[in-house]
Amino acid sequence: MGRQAATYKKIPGRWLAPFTRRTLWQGPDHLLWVEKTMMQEHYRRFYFKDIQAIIVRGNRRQHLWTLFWAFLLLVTGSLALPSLDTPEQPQFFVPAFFVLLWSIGLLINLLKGPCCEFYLQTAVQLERLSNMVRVRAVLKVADRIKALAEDAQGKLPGSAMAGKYAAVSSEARRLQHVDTDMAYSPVWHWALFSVLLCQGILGGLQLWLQQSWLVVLSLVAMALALVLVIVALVRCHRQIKGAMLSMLTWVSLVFAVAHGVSAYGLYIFGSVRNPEYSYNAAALFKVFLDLYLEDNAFITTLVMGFTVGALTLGGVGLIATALRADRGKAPA
Amino acid sequence: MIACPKCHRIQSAETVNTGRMAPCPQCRTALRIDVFNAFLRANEADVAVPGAHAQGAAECFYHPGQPAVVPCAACGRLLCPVCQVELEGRSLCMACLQAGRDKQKITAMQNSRVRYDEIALALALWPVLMIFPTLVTAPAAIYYAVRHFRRPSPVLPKGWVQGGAAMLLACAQIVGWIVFLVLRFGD
Repeated sequence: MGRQAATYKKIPGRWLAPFTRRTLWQGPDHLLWVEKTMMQEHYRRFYFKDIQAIIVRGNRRQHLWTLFWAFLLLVTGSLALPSLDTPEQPQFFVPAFFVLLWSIGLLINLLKGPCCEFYLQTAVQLERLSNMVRVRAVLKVADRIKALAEDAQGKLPGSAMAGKYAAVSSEARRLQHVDTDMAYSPVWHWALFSVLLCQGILGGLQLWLQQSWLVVLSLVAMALALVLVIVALVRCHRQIKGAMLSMLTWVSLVFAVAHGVSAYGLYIFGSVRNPEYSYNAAALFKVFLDLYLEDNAFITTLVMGFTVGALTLGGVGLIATALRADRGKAPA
Repeated sequence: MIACPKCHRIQSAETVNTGRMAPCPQCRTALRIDVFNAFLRANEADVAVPGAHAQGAAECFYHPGQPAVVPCAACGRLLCPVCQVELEGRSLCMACLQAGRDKQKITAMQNSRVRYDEIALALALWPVLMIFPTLVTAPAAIYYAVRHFRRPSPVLPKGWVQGGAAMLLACAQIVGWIVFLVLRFGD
C-alpha cells in the first residue's frame, strides 16, 4: 500500500472568494474537487463509475449582473453628461473613466453568455460544482464528464436507457405526486389573494370617497393579509416550491410588510407632529387616519401604489392558485 | 432519484438525456440532465446469491457461506462482493482499508492536506507590515520552506513557487536585519 501519486489535469473554471478557491481536476478514474482555504486543501472525489447523473440548471445571474453594470453605467454616465462640453475638466474625465470601466464589465458579461449551476449526483450526494457559472463553459465540461462516465460505466442506447429510467422513476414520481400535489390545499392561497384583492378595492374606494372607515378597513385587510401570507408559506411551502405561486406568495409577504412599515411610519410621523396627543391613543389614531385623507402628494402616491400592488397581486395570485389547484386534481 | 435542483420535482424520462437545455415541467427552469448506468444499477433489485457450499466455491473470510470472488490485495483474505472495496485499481478488505487510511498510505483516502509552503509564504510576507516580528518569523519561514520543500504531494502536483518565494523573502529579511545590526552597533 505505498504512495501512488495520481496524475491530474485541471478542468477549466475556478471559484475565487476571499481566502477560498475551488477547482476541479480530472484524475485517471475520478474527478477531484479541491477547496483551498487559507493554508489547507480539502479534497472530494467523484469516481466516474459512481456518477449517476450530471445536471445543468440555468439561472438568472447574468441578468442580475447586467442590471448591476447598467445601473453603475447609468449613474456615472449621468454624472459625466453635464460636463460633456469641457472634456479637459476632472468633472468629466473621472466619471468618463468609470463609464468606460463599467462598459467593459457589461460587455464581458454579455459576451460570456447566460449563467447556470452545475451538479454532480452520486448514490449518496448531490454536489454543486460552483467553480463554473457560464452555460457555454459548463456544457463543454459536462460533455467531457459524460464521455468519461460512459467510458467507465458503459453506454446504453438512448431508447433502452429511457425505458429503464421510466420504469425506475415512475413509481417515485407517482409517490411524489401523491405527497405534494394531492396534499396541497389551496384554501390559504384563496383567502390570501382574496384579501389582497379586497384591500386593493378598499384602497381605490378610499382614494375616491375619502372616508376614514375605509382607511381602517384597508389597514385591517393589510394585517389579515400579513397573517394569511405567513400561514400560507408555512403550511404550503413544500407543495408550491419552485412554482409561480411560491414567488407570488413571497412577493405578497414583502408587500404586506412594506405596507405595514409605511403605516407604522405614518403613525410615528403623526405622533411626532402632534406631541400633545402622546398619551391619548384614541386621539393619536384619529390623527393617523386623518393623515391618510390629507391632500398630500406623497401619501396619495403611497396609497395609490399599495392599491395597484394589492389589485395586481390579488388578481394574478387568484389565477395562479386556480391553475395550481387544477393541477392538483389531475391524475398522476 | 433525479430531481430538479430548484423545485425538487422528480424528472420524467422525457426530460433526461435529451442532450440540450429543456424546461423543468414544474418550475420551467432550463435543465439539462444526463443520466448514466450507475443510476439504473443502484435502483435494480439485488439478485439473491446461492450459498458457497451449494456452489462448491471458496468462502468469504468475513461472511461464511458467501462465495468469495477476489482476494484482498494487501492481506490475501478471500472476499465476497460485499466486503470487496476497489480502490486505486486494487481490491481491498475493510480492515486493510482502515489501516491504510489511518497510516495515510492510501492516496485516494486523503481528504485534506496542510499547505506548508503557503504557511512559509505567509510567515515571510505578512509580518513585514510590522517589521519587528520578522526577527522571529523569517527563520520560521525558512524552517517551514526547507523542511517541506521536497515533501512529495500525495494528491495534486505541488509547485515550488510559494516555497521558493518564502525562502527568498525570509533570507532578504535576515540579511536586512544583519546589515541593520552591524551598521547600528558595529564599531
